[in-house]
Amino acid sequence: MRFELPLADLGEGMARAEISQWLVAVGDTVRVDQPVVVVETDKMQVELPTSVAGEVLELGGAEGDTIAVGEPIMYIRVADASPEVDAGSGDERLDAPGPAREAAPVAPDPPAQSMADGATSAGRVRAAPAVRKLALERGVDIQGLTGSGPGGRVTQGDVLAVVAAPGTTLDVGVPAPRGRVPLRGMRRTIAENVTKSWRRIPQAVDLREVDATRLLQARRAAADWAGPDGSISILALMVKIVGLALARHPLSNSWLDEERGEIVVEDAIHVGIAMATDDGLVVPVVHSVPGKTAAQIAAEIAGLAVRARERALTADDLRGGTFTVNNTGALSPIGAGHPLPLINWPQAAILAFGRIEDRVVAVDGQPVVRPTMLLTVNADHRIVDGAELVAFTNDVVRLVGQPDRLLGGLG
Amino acid sequence: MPDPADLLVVGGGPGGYVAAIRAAQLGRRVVLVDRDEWGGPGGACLHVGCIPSKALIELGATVARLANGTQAGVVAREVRADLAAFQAGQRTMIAGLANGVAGLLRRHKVEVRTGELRFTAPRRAVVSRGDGVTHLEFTDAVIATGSRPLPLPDGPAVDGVRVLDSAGLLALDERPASLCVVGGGYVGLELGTAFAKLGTRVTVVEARDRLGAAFEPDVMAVVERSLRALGVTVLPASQVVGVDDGHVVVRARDGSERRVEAELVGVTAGRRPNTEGLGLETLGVELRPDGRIGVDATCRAAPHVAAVGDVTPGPALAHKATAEAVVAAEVLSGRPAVFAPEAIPVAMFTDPEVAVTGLTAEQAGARGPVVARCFPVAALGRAASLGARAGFVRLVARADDGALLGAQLVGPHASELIAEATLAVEMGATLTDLAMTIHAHPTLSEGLKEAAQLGLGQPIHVPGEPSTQSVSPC
Repeated sequence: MRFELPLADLGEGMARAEISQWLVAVGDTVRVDQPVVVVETDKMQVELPTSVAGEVLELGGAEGDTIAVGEPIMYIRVADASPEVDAGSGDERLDAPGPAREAAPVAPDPPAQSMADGATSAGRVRAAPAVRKLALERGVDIQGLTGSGPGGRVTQGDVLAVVAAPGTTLDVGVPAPRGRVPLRGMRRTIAENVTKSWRRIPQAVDLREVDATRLLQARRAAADWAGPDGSISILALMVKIVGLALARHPLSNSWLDEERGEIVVEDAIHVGIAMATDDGLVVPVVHSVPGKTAAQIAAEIAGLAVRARERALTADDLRGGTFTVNNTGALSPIGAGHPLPLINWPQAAILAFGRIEDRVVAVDGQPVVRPTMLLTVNADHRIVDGAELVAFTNDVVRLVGQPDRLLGGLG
Repeated sequence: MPDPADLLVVGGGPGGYVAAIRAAQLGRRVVLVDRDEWGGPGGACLHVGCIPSKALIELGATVARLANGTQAGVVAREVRADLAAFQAGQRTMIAGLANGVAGLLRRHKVEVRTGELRFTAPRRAVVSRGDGVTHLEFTDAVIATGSRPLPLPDGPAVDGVRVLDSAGLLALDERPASLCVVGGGYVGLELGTAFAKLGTRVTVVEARDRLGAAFEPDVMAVVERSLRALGVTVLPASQVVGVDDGHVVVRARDGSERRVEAELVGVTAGRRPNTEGLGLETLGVELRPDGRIGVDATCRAAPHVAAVGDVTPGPALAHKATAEAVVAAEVLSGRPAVFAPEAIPVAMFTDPEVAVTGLTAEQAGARGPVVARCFPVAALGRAASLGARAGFVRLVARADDGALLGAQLVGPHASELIAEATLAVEMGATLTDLAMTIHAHPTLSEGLKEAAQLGLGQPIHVPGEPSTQSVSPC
C-alpha cells in the first residue's frame, strides 16, 4: 500500500516550507515517529517525523524545493498488514502519532468539498477577522486568494505567502558556515531585497560630521528626570528627530511605484530600525513616530529588540515601514568607521549614524575635542534631488544640535 | 493661545470614550469634550438608553415571573414593583458605571472637558460652558456626538408631563395605569413589554403595517403573539392624532378613529443624529440629506476627521459605535484599519428576545443559493424547563459550502446566544463546524447546533426529513 505523507501545518498559519535536508533516502525503512526530513520556513527549521512505518518509495522533492502544506512530502510503502490504509477509517490509526494527523480529514465534510475551485456564491472568501486584518495591514487583496485552510479558509500563512518578506537594508554578515551553503529562507529574502535596492535605486548620499555634545546632555537630562528605568537611547532620540524632519520633508517619506509610474508619498511616518540578529538583518518598525514621545519610542525600540533577539517579532512589528534608521555605531565599536547602508527597498531614504566619539574639531580657529557622530542619509535620487536631500539632512543635523525641545515638550 | 490637543474626541458615549482610550493607547495626547448632559461619561446608552432600559425590563420580568409563577410552583402574594426604590438603585448603578468610565479615561491620561464644542477652522474648535469659552487646537478629531429622540412631525409633542420620550419613560418612579407607546420599533416594544409586565395597560401604535420593521415578519409574528398574550393592544397602520384627558385619539389608515386609554404617552419613534451646530462645515465635512456624516471604510469624513456611531450611516447601536471608534483611533494614528464587519448583531429585549446577525435568507438568497431552516425553541429541553417555548433558531448558510452567512434567533436569552452565530459568520464557519461543535446539555445554545444539523439535512430532535426544502418557513 502506497501512503502519502503530507507536509503538516507547523502552525503560525504556515502555508509552505522549504526542504532543507533529507534524513532518509529512497529504499530506507522508516519507523513511526522517525524524523525523515528537515524543513525550513521564514521563521524556523523543524525536523518532521513520519506517521507511518514502511519503506521509502519516493521523495516529494529535492533539497531546496518548496512544498505547500498538505502536499505529499514523501511516499511510503506500508506493510500490507494495514489493509484499509487508504480508507477513512484506517487513517485515524495511522495518523495518530504524528503531526500529519492535522492534515487528514477527520470526518467527511461534503459541502466543503465542493469549494475546490474557491468560487463562492455570496462572493466572499472565508477568512477569520484576524486574517482579514493582517491582509489589510500587508496590503493583500484577500478576495484574490485561494485558501489553504480547512474547507478552503484563507489562513494567515496564505496572506504572508504573497507578501514580500520584511524589507532589509544591508547585510550585516552572519557568521557563515564553511563550504557551500544554499541561499535559503531569510538569507535569500535579504539577498533579493538588497539586490533590488542596489540595482534599481540610484542612491545619493549626504555625509556629515555632527557635534553631539548637546544630544548627550539631553539624554543625561532625560535619564536624571526619568530615573534609571526611563533612560532614553541615542537611537530613540534619532528616531524622534527623523520623525520631525520627515514631517517637513515628505519626499523622503515616500517610495517610487515603478509599475504605475507614481511617487507614493506616505501620510503616516513609520520608522524601521535595522537590527542585527543571529539569523540576519530584521527591520522592525516604530509606527506613527510623530505622535510619540522620545520616551515612548525608547520603550518601543527596547521591546522590538527583545522580540527580534527571541525571534518573536510579530507581523505587526514588521509591517508598514516608510523610512529606515540604522545605528551603525552598534556595529563598528572600534575606530571611526561608518559602514554605508543601502536604502531599504522600496523606501526613498535611509539614515545611518555612527558611534559618538571624541574627535578634534575646529572651534573659533582652535582645535577642540568634542563628541561627534558621523551621519549619512542615502536617498533615492529619482525622487529626491540633491537640494532636497541636503535640506532634509540639514533639519536632522539642526535637531541633533538643539535636542532640548525633543525632551522639553515631548519627552 | 489655544490649548493643544493632539487628538480631539467630541462626545463621551460608547463611541467617544472608546476612541479616546484606543488613541491614548497608541500614544496620542487625547482631549475628550463631552456635553455632560447626564453627569459623567457614558452617553445616552449608559444614562438614558441601553443600560437603564435593561434594568427596567429585568424588573418587569421578575415581577411577571413571580406573579404568574403558580404553574411553576411559586406561590407569591402581593407581588408588586416599587418604582421609586428601583429608580434609587438605578441612580447608584449608573453613577457607578459612569465612574468606571471616568476612571478608565483618567488611567489613560485622557483630558476630559465639559461644554458645547464648535469647530471654527480645520484644526480649531471652541468649547463653551456657562461661564466662558476655551479654545482648542487639534491635529485629528473624532466626532462621536450620538443622537437624540426624534420628535414626531405630526404626532404628539413631548412635554415631559403627559407625553414622554424614552428617557422620560425610563425615569418614571410611579407605574402608570395605562400607557400608549407611539412607535413599534425595538425601543417601543421593549418598554411596552416591561410596563405591561409591571401591570400597565399598554397600547402600541405603529404607523407602518407591522411592528419591528427592522426584523423579518416571521420573527415579529412570534413577538406580536406574546405581546397580545401580555395584554398589549397592537394598532398597526395607525397614528396618534390627539391627546386629551386620560386618552389619546388614534386614527387608522382607513380613516376610522378610536379613543384609547392612556395616562401617559411614550414617543419612541426613532432618533436623529446630533450633527447640527458643530461647525462641521469649517472642517470641510458635509452632511448627508439625512443629517448624518458620510464616512469611508476607515470611518473618516476628511483626512484628519473621523466620525463614529449614531452620527454615521448604519444602525444606531452602541456596539457599532464602539467597533468604529477603535478603527477611527487607529486610522487617525497612522495604523491600517477598516470597518468592514461581516455581521453586526442586533438584539431586541422583548419577551421572547429577538437577536439577528448577518444576512437574512432573502438578502443572502439574492447573492446565490442558500439553506435556511428553522429549529423550534420548543424542542429544546432547557427551554421547556424555563417554561419559555416560543421562538426559533434559523441559520442562513450558503448552499454550496455551508458557510454561515446569518442567523435569526427568537427565544429566551437570544441576545446572548447571537454571539456564537456572529463569531461563526466572522470566522467563515460552516454548518458542519457548528453541528460538530459539542454544545452543553441542557442549554439553549443547543438550538444553534440543532439548527445547523437541520440545515445539513441531519436533524436529530425534530421530525424533519432530510432537507427537501432549502428555505423552510418558521
